[in-house]
Amino acid sequence: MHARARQISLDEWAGRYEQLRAGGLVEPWYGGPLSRHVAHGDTRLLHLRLDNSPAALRLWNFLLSEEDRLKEFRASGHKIVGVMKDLGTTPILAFALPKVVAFYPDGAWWLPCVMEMSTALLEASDALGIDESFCPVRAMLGAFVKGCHFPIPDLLTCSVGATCDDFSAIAQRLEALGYRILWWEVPHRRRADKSELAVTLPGGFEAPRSLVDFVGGELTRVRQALEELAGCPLDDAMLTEGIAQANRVRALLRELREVCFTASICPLGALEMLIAEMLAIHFCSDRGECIAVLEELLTEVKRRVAQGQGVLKSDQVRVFWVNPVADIQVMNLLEECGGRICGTDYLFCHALDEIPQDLPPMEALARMALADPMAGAAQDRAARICRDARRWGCQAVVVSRIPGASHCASEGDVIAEAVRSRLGLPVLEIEVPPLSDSIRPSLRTRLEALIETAGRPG
Amino acid sequence: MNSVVYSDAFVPAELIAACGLRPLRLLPARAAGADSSAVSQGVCPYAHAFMASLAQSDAAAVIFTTACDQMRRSCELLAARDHRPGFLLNVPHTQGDGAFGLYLSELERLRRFLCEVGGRCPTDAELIETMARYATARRSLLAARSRFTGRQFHEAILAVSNGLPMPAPKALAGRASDGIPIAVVGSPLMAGDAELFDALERFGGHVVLDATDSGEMALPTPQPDPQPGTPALESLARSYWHIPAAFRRPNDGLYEYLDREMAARAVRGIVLRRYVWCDTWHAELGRLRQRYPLSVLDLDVSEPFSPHTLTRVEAFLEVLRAR
Repeated sequence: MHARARQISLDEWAGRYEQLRAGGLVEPWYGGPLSRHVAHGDTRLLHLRLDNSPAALRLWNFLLSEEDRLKEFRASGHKIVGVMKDLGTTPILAFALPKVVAFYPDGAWWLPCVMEMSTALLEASDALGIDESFCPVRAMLGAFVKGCHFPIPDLLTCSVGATCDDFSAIAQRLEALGYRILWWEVPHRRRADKSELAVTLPGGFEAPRSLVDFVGGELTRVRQALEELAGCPLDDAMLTEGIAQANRVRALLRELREVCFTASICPLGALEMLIAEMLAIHFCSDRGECIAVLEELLTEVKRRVAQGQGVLKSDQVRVFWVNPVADIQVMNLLEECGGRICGTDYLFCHALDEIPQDLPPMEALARMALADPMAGAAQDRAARICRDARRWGCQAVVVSRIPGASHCASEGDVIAEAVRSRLGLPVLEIEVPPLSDSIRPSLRTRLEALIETAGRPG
Repeated sequence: MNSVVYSDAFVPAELIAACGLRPLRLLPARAAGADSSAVSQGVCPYAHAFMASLAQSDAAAVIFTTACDQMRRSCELLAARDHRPGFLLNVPHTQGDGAFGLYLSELERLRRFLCEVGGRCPTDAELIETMARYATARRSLLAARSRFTGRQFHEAILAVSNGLPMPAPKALAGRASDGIPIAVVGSPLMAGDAELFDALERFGGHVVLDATDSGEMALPTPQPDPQPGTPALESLARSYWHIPAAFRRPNDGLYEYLDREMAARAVRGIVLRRYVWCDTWHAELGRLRQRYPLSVLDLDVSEPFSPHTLTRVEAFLEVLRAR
């Protein structure tokens, strides 16, 4: 069953799948050949280099079957919560309740890429006045209106305050169409004044006690809404167990990152690592299965490292990547250019940190929500990026701008300046649209130049 | 007297004045020439111009708010580029009791900051007296609204907000007072941008509602005199808390205001004036068009007031006249 680790095309996966089946591969209910997703419109798969392991097969199938899973949950009487913007907090509350699942409508931002614009979500968004000057997450608005990519949630929540204006504006447009939203506030995270009590947050940032208390109050409103939806109370014991499960996911991801980023030969490509990391914020709507998927992936990665196997050459340049890409194919491109991912900040590094389990659960979640890198100063985010890039021995940093995202207008410069002055590393800033084919030659040239610069001795 | 620049309507000028400092709502000058490269990289022209204008200002300190993401981040840029102290006022986007409590505590923090940058800590009586003075000036201003042209009124709002005497209205230009009633809504203006009002009135319109973030809509709601025992700062916070704004979530208050005021002033056309990358206002365009059976002119004014814009304004008024 264990072929030598490598990246293969979707065509090659057809043969590989037959081989695995013949070898006794046992799959979960959502398993099957990856090519079937192309028939459902996920044509970007045809242009990707994919990991050849059964663990990666399971990961892709888990990701691409979320819509079916949500329909199943609804059919079986589960309540569905659409968690917008908030990166990792509300899903923990939702999954702590029986027969409640949460998903992340913002995830629709990848649909124009994965379906290579065939789904007309951006056009639907255009028709509502949300045009291409907004972040590609506007695809979410189109998905709601067309009603064909996820079930309309029973409850919609959205965090606002110290968030991107583009997302907040799109969510407001959604509400104006009749989708009621529970808004909750994440204020800008600042340092405590001299006269204030300071609290250390997961990840090492600090905030005044008063802000933590305020966010705790906001999360209590969310908790009450979820209890009402579920028709049963969410007590601290349930919440504590929910946090423990979330921490299990986070621990698996931290270990996966550690093993991958420190291995002498890259054991798992950037694409699968990106997908895996994204699971931290919403569990792809099935927390239990999410844990199983990550466990299998980690086992495979450890096996490869132990056997000295990898999917890339041993001399690939170690790159730290900032922000998620709207076109996932760009992760392949980096590797084709001679890079490998050895550190990431995909906007939710706080969702990889352990949630304190020695605190009252709501206090712990409030601290976590405030630790969101987007809630604070870009300098704070840059400091964490520098710390992690140093720790993992990165040789270069790519800041990948998200088109139209309000935070990308100025934070790239702040991060680049910090990386250059503190680490002396080359930094490249690029912008990645949902389909990057038309700018691929230029992206390739720029990434190759970065890799060449970073890989040069001295 | 040291001046303190502030960027947004949710910063109470009265508080700055009560601390013995001069409030200065800075409407930035367009940063000529420097705009294009930054704006093409996604920087809001207003935020860019605000930072450029600060360099020309001798203000002792600068107050930003979190009402807009790019301005929130501009406060951080100030710390990196400028020796002057900056203060970022957390203005909640939601409007529950907890959010009001946060806003009030932020005003308390602002008061401490103002004392640290050269102000004096006002007593409640001093703050109440300053609030009353501002309230009187605003009442006089609103009572005189019909005597001003659109541009004059916008400039008078700025003057009163900065604690200056209300300028005397000059004679109405041409036929403005019997022109087609227009509402201008959207982002705050930059210095000189009130030319838009002149253009609207020159082509036969009459700006009866300035619902921009630097206009009449952004004036605080007059509050009754503070009840005995109610801290003056809380009363001040309440008057600013209900300013209608596009960034609030939900922003129903904005539409309640527009519904009420546009009906009262028989508005026949709406001009949405916004900056490229201002997602907050841009996203309201579709809603304005759906909600009101009126013509809506969308002006993306990333460039200085151009002949192209002027032609669009003229055509807009022609269409309205024909209806």
